[in-house]
Order: sequence, then C-alpha cells, then structure tokens
Amino acid sequence: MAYYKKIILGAIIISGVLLAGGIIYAASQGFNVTFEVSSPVSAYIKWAIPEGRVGAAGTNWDTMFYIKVKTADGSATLYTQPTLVTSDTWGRYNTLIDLSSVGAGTYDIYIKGHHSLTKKMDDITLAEGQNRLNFTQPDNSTATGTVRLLAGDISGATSSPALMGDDVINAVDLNIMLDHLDETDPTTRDIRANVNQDPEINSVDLSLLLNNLDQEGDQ
Amino acid sequence: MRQIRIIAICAFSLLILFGGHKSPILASVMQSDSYRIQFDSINFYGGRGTSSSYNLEDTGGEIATGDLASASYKLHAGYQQSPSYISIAAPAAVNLTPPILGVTGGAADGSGNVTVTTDDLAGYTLQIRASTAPAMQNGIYSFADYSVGGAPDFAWLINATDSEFGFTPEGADLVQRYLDNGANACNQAAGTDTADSCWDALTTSDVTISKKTGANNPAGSVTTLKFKAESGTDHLQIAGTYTATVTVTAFIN
Repeated sequence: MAYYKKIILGAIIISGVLLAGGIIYAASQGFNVTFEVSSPVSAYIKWAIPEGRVGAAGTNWDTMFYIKVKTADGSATLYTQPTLVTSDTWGRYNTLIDLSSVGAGTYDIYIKGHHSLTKKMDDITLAEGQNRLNFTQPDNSTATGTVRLLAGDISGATSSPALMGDDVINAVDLNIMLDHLDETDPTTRDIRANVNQDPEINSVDLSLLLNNLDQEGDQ
Repeated sequence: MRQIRIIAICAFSLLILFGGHKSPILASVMQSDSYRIQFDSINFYGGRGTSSSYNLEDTGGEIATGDLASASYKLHAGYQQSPSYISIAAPAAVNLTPPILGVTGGAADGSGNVTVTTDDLAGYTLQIRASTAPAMQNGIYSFADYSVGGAPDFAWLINATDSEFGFTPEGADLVQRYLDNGANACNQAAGTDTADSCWDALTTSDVTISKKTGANNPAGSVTTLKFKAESGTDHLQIAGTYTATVTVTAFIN
C-alpha cells in the first residue's frame, strides 16, 4: 500500500510541476549571420604644398590634384585617381583614397596639381589600412618638409586627370600666362594662371613660371 | 479495484506529461451560433479538477487512441492527445556579401527563408531575436543595431560616420510593424509588403515578425529575412569576421 502511495504521489507531483510551469507548443532555431570587413590599403595626404603661394602658413596651400601609383621601378602605372579632388588650405586631403586595387607593397607615388608639375615620392611602402602621404618630404617622413610642387604647368583643362596639363612648363604655359597678365582675380581661385593665388595675375606669377621654364614633371 | 485506480491515475499523469495543459483551438466536432464543442469523448470517466496550484483534466477508457502518420497527414487520436504540432526550418547560416571595406565603407547584404508549419487552426506566430546587444560583433568591435525611431525605417539609411546592422522581413504573414504604405512609412495597419522596406534592429528580446491564423500544413509559411550591414564612408571599421547569432521562434497562437 505504501508503495502504491509513493507512485501516485510522484506522478501527481510531476504533473503539477508541468502544469504549473506551463507547456508551450513552440519550435525554435538559431543561426549565424556573418560577413567580412576587410582593411584595404588607403591613403590620405598630409601634406602637398604648391610653390610660391602667398599668405601665412596654412591659409593658401590648397590645390586641385590627383595621385598616381606606379611600380617601384616606375615601369607600370597601377592606379590613377579617377577624378580630381581638392586639398584644404593646409595642403591636406583627409578623405581616404582607396588603394585596395594596389594592395600593400612598395611603390612610386605621384601627385599632380592643377598649377604644378608632377612630384614623385620614390619607393614608398604602403601598408594595410591608412597610409599618410607627405609630399613635402622626399622620403614620406612625418614632419612638414620643404619640398614644394613646382608652379607653372597651367595648360589643358581642369576637368579630369588626363586633361590637367601636359606636365611640362614651356611656351604653351607662358602664352597662357601672358594672356592673363595684369588681370584681377578677386576670389584668388578663378584664373589658373594665378599660380600664387593672390588677387591678381602679375609679375610674381610670371616669375614663378619663368623660374621653372623647361622643367618637366617627375616620371 | 485498487490496482485499476492506480493505473488510471498514472495514465492521467502520463497524458499530462505528453499533452500538457494548453488547449489549442482545434476543429470542433459540434458548434452552433453560441457555442462550440472542441472535443468530445465517450469514455469511462473524466473531468477537470483544479486547486490553487494545479489544473488537472483527465479522461480514461478511450479506445483507438495513438498517433498515425503518413507523408501528408498526422493523426493524434484520442481526446487528451497532444492535438497539434509546429515546426520551423531556418537557414543553417546567412553570409552577407560583398565584404565591407573597413576604411572606405560599404554595405553587405544577405537573406534566408524561415518556414513555419503547423496543423493547428489557431495558426502561428514567428519571432526573432539576437543573442547579443549589439547583435553584430567581432570581439570588442561591433556594428551598432540599426537605428529606428519607433517604427522601422521604410528605406535603409545610416549616417556616414556610423556602422549599423539590421534586418527586414518579407512574406505574406507579416505583422503590421513591417507593413508599409508603399512610399515612405512602415507600421501601417492596412499596409503592404514592399520589397526591401521597413528596416529594423535586432534586439535580445523576441520581436514578432509574422503571424497567421489557420493551419498551413504541409506546405508551411515562408518568411524571408533580409539582413544588411553597412559601414559609412566616414567611419573606420576594424577588419575581421563579424557574426550575429539570430534565433527564430515559432509558436502556436
């Protein structure tokens, strides 16, 4: 009799627990949602300073430009920035330039400004992630250096990298300069011959050009 | 006589064990305008007993009880049989593509189908939740849960300085929260399901995404879950594999 009582009591307790806890008719399944975030090579510019700009430091160093990446021996162009962009008055361009198509490695890196000849930094190592490009130093070291973008290449249009000058300062540029000589440029940015970006095109601009006459951009 | 009583009580307990106390709505065997008899049974004895702690509904002496099944049907014979079933089929995993560029930003998308099948006329409710907050993580790094003001966003949009992860469900059984006006607003009472609209955040609490009244077996009802992650153009996202563990739960209404 005691044996049966235990069985009965046990069964009732189990039932009670189940009833008190409640049983829900449900089905559940878990799964993972995944993806990859990669860290490609990219670059920003700090600094690229055009030659001969008037005014205090950091007030007039802006330029329209594009960059180009070549193999370390300079034999092949691996990347050309597809559109022209403009640096700030400190000569910086903080928007990251995507160089994922280039990848990490050692390259020659070029910058071409809308007033100036192409400037090259030789054998620069690009790492995964963000890279700083300092065209004021020949070795891309950190501090602001003395290297400047040589002024005077003002031929061609400023609509695309391919049309922005012939990368040589010659009679073509000189004629353009002479055509604009003595004109005023109140905004200091409207006339391309105004290479020092002051309010007028005058002998200062002409002197900068003449000083670089027959110079060619770095290849 | 004593043995019969003992066996009967044990049988009640087993019925409760496998059947539970929930009383899903099933096909009624008799009904009028004012009442409906869900089940009936001719048996030796039975009834409902309650106390402050327990509910007990028992029956005994039925014949021809048990389960029968074929490819198309399942039969739970007997008054106290577990009267219905529900199943769920979710993707094993969802991979979002393409890879997001951590420096310059980008978006990755992916989707998977969740199929809920039930023979219960009460239908089903489907819920979703994430195991962590924020949902999408890679160690100490993460994508924020998609920002919504209240109702889901009709169109996916994040700030250039942010990275976020969210989802939108698609299907015939979506609840109001994921129905839209076809133009610019979600949570519409008489709304429709515009593709790729009504983006929401995953949370660690269950959120109902689909609900249906009526059985849908054997085909089941499909809800497509679309996931999106994006890192803004002015946001730096650390490289690596990011994972969110998502749980979908379906239950009988």
